Amino acid sequence: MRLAWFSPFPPVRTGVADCSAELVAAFRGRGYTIDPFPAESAHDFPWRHRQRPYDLIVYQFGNSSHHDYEWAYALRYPGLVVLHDICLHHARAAFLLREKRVADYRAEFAWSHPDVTPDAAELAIAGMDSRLFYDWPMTRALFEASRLVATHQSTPNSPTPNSQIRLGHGELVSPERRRDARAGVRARHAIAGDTVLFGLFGGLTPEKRIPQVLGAMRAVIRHTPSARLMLSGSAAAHFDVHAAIEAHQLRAHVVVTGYVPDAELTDHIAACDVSLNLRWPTAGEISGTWLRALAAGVPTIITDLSHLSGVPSLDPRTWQPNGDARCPTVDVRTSDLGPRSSVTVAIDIVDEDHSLRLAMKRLALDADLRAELGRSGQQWWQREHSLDAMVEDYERIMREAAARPDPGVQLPAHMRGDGDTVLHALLDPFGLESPL
Amino acid sequence: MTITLNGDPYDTDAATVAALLERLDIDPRRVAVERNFVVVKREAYGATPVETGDQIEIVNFVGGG
Repeated sequence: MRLAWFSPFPPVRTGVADCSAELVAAFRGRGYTIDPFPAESAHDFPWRHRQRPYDLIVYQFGNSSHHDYEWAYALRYPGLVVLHDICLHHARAAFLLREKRVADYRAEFAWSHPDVTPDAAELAIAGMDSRLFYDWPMTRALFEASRLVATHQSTPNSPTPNSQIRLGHGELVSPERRRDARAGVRARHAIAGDTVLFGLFGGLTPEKRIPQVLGAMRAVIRHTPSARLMLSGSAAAHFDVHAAIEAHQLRAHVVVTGYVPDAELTDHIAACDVSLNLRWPTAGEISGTWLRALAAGVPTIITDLSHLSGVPSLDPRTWQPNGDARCPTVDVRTSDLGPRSSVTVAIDIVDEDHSLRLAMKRLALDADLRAELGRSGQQWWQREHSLDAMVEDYERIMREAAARPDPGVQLPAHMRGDGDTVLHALLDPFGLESPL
Repeated sequence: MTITLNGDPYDTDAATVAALLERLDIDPRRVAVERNFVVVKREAYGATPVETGDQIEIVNFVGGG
């Protein structure tokens, strides 16, 4: 199969870029011919496609500006769209409004969400980055103009049915590597080997629930005074993590490492006893650091979100399975992953402070539970989140997408406009013609 | 003759930029063309020769989105 692959690639530092690089290498190894089209070379695509049509065009979309350039192609050349985030509203609004396309944003919002008052568009136009954006994903055009849309998570509110691809990320960490990482990373940050260490990774933003984690940490150290929290990631401009640590009087219990290069990140995660992978609000993404923690055999705590409803998890209020009894209480004597074993602890967002304290306190004290969750989490990762699992799903879905016809769809006018509209608009008032 | 077209070797007998676009089935209104690092104006496509070793870049406009 010959593929055109629209996506950012490294050195762009996003999870989607890394994922695309891994996938392209894997598919080339399986005999596929793939032409990558990042932003800087996308203009080559139309004539290459005209000269020799691709069997399938694959578009990787996330809720960030790195994907702005893909919209024009995805709407004009239908293919397989893979959504790494279920919600694209933040990126879409920022793109249109940055280009001063206010009328286009209003039109697109009204068309994408006809059940919402059009006045809601004024939120973004006024510069307010509303949390309501998460309820209005602005993805209708991609769903209707594509041959097939796939996601890495369940999408109960998606405009049309879509396919699911297991997201592969991370590398299996052996017990030997974990032992070495534990010794090396802890030595570097002056953390004793027998200290119960919680870790939180990635950009240090409030969405990672850092204030709530610090509040829970206060409760943990009353029972486990030696416990520590390691925050590894870049500081955010809009959140003063050091001030938050001071406010909770936790300076002696928290280590802030700053940005950790990607090559060292897995070892930092593996050095911890528990990985905190909370998220709210969310664009429906799957945390890359959570997957790395699973692959490293580190027990995890996540937020119980609808797009993660398929993950067997424990409710720390009862230590029973979350949801509709989809799995039994974790059995610490069992080492094999049964079809219903819990692989993580999930926090109900409406009881977050209470549930998080219960979860962190129990995991700080219960080494058997940590070990069992680490084992079952690692087995879950092998089954659901390895690169092989992702490639297998991609091959199935790409075959399905390639066999489908292009959809005929009427999009708002601005989505299919000419490429030189802006140029003409600039020159016309001066009576000038385009030099091209 | 062989030219370099958007970074790749390309064999053609097109004598001018306009002929090259025609061979490639490209609408000249939708592209910008650069020949040996100089932008070619649209009205000059018919008079601009394509010669062996030329480096031609064709940039497509894709509007909308």
